Amino acid sequence: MMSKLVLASLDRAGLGAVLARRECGEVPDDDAVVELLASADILALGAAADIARRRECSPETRIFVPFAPSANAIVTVLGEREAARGTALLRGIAVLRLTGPIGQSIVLDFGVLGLEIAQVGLSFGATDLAGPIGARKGLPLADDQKKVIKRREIAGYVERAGFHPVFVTNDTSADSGDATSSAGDHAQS
Amino acid sequence: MLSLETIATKIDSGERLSFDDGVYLFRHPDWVAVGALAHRERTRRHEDRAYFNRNMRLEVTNVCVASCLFCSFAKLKEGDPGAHTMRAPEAWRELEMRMDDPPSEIHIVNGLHPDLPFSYYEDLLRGFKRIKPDIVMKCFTAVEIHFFAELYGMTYEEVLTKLRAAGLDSLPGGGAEIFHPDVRSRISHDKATAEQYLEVHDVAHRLGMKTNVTMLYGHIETFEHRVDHILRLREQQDKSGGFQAFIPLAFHPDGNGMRHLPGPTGVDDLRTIAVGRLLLDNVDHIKAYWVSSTPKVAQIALRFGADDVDGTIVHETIYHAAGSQSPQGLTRDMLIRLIQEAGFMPVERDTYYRVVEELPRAVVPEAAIKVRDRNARKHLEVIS
Repeated sequence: MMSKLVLASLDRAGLGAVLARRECGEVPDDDAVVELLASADILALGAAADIARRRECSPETRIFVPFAPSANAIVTVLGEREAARGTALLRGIAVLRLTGPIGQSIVLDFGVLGLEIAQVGLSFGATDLAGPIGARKGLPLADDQKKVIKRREIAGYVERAGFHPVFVTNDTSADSGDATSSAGDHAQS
Repeated sequence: MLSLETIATKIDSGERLSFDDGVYLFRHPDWVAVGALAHRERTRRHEDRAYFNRNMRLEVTNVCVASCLFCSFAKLKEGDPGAHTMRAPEAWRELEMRMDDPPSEIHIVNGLHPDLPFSYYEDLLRGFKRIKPDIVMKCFTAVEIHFFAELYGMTYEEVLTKLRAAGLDSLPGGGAEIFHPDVRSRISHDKATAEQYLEVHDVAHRLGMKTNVTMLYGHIETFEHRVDHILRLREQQDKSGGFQAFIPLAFHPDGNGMRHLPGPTGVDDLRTIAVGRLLLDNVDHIKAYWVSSTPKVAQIALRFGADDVDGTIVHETIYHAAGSQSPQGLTRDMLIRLIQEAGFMPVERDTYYRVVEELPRAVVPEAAIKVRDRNARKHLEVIS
């Protein structure tokens, strides 16, 4: 539930109209909207993207195990250099949410981005996570080193962002097909 | 009835937030809105400035008689695997090696070593000052100062006065952990109590020193314990006024006595920064310590109430012993870029928040993103 404070900030940023268009089933992806979103206050933008995500998508956050993007999922692909940039990434996720097809999935690869930033991305319009899950090994010292985490840990991250984690086990050898059609198992956290 | 609006009204009218307000903010499901409220307050104080400094971090000994559950750094005694104690010249060498681009501050935090003479610490400070007389020595947590007082049979004032004469300028904020006795007695029962920690800072402030204060969160404590902690330090600040920055430190679970705990998440990091900003109406700066939260989260924290990302660090071992995945140092240029890309003006500061240099605002605006192949909407690219 959005507070009056947030709703007022959405109106100030001109984002109420974008949400209204989406509510009517329209995809507001014209240049004027993209320009507006590119300069809007990042927290107002995040709030707008979160409203759109909650209206259009399931409250469940799917966690693809192991990473297997489906043909129709929207996957953010970022190089290591780009992955170091937090606020630009959040803005990008929110722009994808607000200018993309109604109800689209946005999957974040926490193996590339890091789990902390991927978790934050769930409140900026992303729906799902993917990445390596397994026992944590060693003490990696570099920020760009891929983090390997336990299932319970990632489920906790999702819950603490306010969403319901559902693990989806994929056949990684299949390049096509909807990953969501695979059987999901609810996180035991 | 509590709401974000009533809290915003309180802040606008200069009314101090209460314990219940703090707990409400920690529990509010719309954590981004809490962040927005904190950002408003941060902007009121600092506009779009974001501070950093050029510092060097050293841990000269990890031998420690305390047995804190959260610590992955300390070794009980000399000779234990991994135990180390630098000789003073070894420590000085760390600065000498960096004199072509020297830091403005040396930050030293150690274990509680039971066998070193007090003169070791005095010599250490004097040596650094000999190499670079204007360097600021921000050394020894209040827990260490308390330990020195007990070990060497001095008052806090005597310890601080002697160390100041040798070159000590400021105290770091480490060792605060969680003040509430229910938590403190479980995670760090055999070192300075909350009252002793705050008394050391009280004495330091009376002697004219500026210090920082921390909170270690994300382990066994509740939101109520966090609020209690923040309000205790707010009360101390009312009395002595010498805290410059509040630094929330995320607990990292690897390799310590609480490794079964999950540790805080990115959302928790940002929310804690935000609530800290809102409750601490008498502390100027809120620091997002990038080593504990990662550079990415620290960058976002600038939009959640933080106005400082700490410094270049160079050589950090305490968090890395606990599994931090952040790099062990960032260059000055990397810090500037991190701040600029978040849409803020980087300000290099010294230990006392005096401006060393104001740098240009965004060379690379945060908004510089594009959705590659917008028709397919497959990829997101962040461009420079």
